[in-house]
Amino acid sequence: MNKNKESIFSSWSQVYALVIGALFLEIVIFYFITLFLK
Amino acid sequence: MITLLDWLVLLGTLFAIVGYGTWKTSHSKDISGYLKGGNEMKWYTVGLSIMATQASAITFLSTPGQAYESGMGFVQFYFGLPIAMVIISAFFLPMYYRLKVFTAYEYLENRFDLRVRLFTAFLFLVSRGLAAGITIYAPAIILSTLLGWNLEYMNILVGLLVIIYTVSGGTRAVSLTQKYQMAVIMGGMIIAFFLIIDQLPPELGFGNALELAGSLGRMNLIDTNYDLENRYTLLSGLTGGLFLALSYFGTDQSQVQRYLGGQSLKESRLGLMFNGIFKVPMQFFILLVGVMVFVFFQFNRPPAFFNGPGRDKVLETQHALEYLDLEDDFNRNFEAKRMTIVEYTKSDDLRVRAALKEKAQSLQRRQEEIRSDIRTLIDDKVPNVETKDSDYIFLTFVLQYLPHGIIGLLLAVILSASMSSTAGELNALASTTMVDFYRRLNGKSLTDKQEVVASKWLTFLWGVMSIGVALSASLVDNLIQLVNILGSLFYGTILGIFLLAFFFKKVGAREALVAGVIGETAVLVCHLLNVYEVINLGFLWYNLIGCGTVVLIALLIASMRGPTKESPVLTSS
Repeated sequence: MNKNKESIFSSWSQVYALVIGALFLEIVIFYFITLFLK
Repeated sequence: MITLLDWLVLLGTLFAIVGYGTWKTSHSKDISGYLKGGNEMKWYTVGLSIMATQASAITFLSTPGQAYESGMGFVQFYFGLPIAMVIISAFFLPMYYRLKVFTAYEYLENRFDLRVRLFTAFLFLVSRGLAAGITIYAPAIILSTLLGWNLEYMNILVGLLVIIYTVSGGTRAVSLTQKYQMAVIMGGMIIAFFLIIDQLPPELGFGNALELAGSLGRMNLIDTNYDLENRYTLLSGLTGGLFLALSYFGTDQSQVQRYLGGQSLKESRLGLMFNGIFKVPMQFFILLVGVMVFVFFQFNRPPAFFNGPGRDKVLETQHALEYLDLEDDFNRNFEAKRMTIVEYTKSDDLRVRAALKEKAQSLQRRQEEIRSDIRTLIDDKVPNVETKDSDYIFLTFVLQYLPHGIIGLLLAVILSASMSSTAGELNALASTTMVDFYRRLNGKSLTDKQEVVASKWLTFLWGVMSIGVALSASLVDNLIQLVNILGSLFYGTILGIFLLAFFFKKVGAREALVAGVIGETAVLVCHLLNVYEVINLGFLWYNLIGCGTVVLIALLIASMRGPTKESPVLTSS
C-alpha cells in the first residue's frame, strides 16, 4: 500500500507540477501582454 | 443568406456524426457498458469528452462577442480550472475508482448515509434538468433570430438528434460523438480565425492588429484589482473560479461520468490533465477570434446594433427616428475613428502616433456610449427586443463576411457544441435517476437487460423533458439567466458536502446534512440580498460562500458534539 502510494505520488506529482507550471507561465505571459499592449 | 453548399456541409456534418455514433455503439449488454462505456476510453477521448461537455454552443457564440465588447479579461474565469483538475485527479478520482461508483452521489452514501446521497443527487437533477433544456434553447434562439429559422422546429430537431444516439449507445456514443464534434468545433474555429486575419487590411500585420486591439482596450487579459464587484479578475478567477471548477468537474455527474468511463485510473487522470493543460489556451484562442473580429470592424463599418431583426422591429415603431439619429451618430463617429486608425497604422512618428492613439481611444469610448444609448432606448421603448446583442456579433460577422461552405461549417460548429453538451447532460441525468433513485430505492433486483432498457427509457424521458424546457423557455422571462444562476446557487453546497466527505473524517452524516441545509440557506439569502440590491456580489462568489459555510458549520457542530467513531475517509491509492 505504502509503496503503491509513494509511486503514484512521485510520478503524478511531476505531472501536476507541469499543469500548475503551465498555468503560472500563462498568467505571466498574459500579464506582460496586458502590460505592453495597452 | 444560406446556400445549398452551406446546407450540405451543415447537415452532412451533423448527420454523419450522429449516424456514425449510433451505428458504432448500439451494443451495450449491461449497465456498466451503457452508463460507463464499458471502461474502454483512452485518455484523449476522456479529455475531449470533458471539454466537449463543458463547451456549449453559447461558448462559441458569446465568447467572441464578449471579447469584441469588453476584451479578453474573461479568460481569467478559467484560471482555477487547472488547479481543480489536479485536486480532482489526486483526491476525488482515486476514491471514485476504489468504490467503483457509477455516480458521484453513490460515494456519499458510502461515506455518510442515504439521505445525504439523495439530497445532493436531487439538487443535481433539478439544476441540470433545467440547464439541459437551455443548452438546446440558447443557441436555437440566436440562430432562429438571425436566420429566420423556426425556433420550435430547431429545438425539436436538435433534441431528437441527441436523443437518437444518446438513447441508443449511452456513454460510449456520447464520448465517441463528442470526439468528432470537438474536431469539427476546433477545426471550424481555426479556419474562421485565419479567414478573419485574411480579411484585415494587407498592410496590417498580425502584430499590428494585436497592438491596435490593445490600444483600444481589448488585450486586458489580467486584472489585478481586488474589487469584489468586478466579475473577472485574477483573484476571482483563482478563487471563485477554482471552487466553481471543483464543484462542476468533481461533483457534477455530467462531468464525473465522462472521466469514470476511462480505461483505468491512469487514463482518467490523463484525461483530466489534458483538460487542465488545454482549456485556458482554448478559451484564449476563442477570445482572440473575437478580438480579431473587433479589429476587422475598425476598418469595416459594423452595425450599430447587432440584433438585425431586432433593429427592424424598432424601425416599425414610433421610435424609429430616435433610433436612426443614434445610428447616424454611430456611423459618423465610426468614420472619424476609421480615418484616425488608418493614419495611426501608417504613421512612424512616435509623437503623432501617441496623439492619434489617444484620439482613437476617445472615439472608441464615444462609440461604446452610443451603443449603450441605443440599448437603453430599445430597453425602454421596445421591450420585446433582445438588447444583449453581443451574442449576435460573431454570427453576424460569419454570415456577412465569410465564404459559403464555411458558413455551413460554422453553423455545424455551433450545433455540434449544443449537441455535445446536451448529450453529456442527458446521459448523466439518466444515470443519476437510474443508479441513485430507481435502482437504489427499488426493492426488486433487475437483470442486466432490464437495467439497460430502464436506463434507455430514462435517457429518452430526460431528452423529451429537455425539449419541453427548450420549447417553453421563450415563455418565461429571464429563464436563461435563472438557469445560469441556478448552477451557482447549488454548486457551493454540493462541493462543501463532498469536501467534508473527502477531507474531514470526524464529520458524520447528520452534521453534513444540517450544514448542507444551512449552507444552502446562506447562499439563497446572499442571492436575495443581491436581487434586492442590498449587496452587489458576483455569482462566482456564491460557490465560495456555500462551500465555506457548509464546511465551517459541519466542523463547528462536530467539535461541539465531541469525539465519535471515525468514518472511512480518503487515503490515496
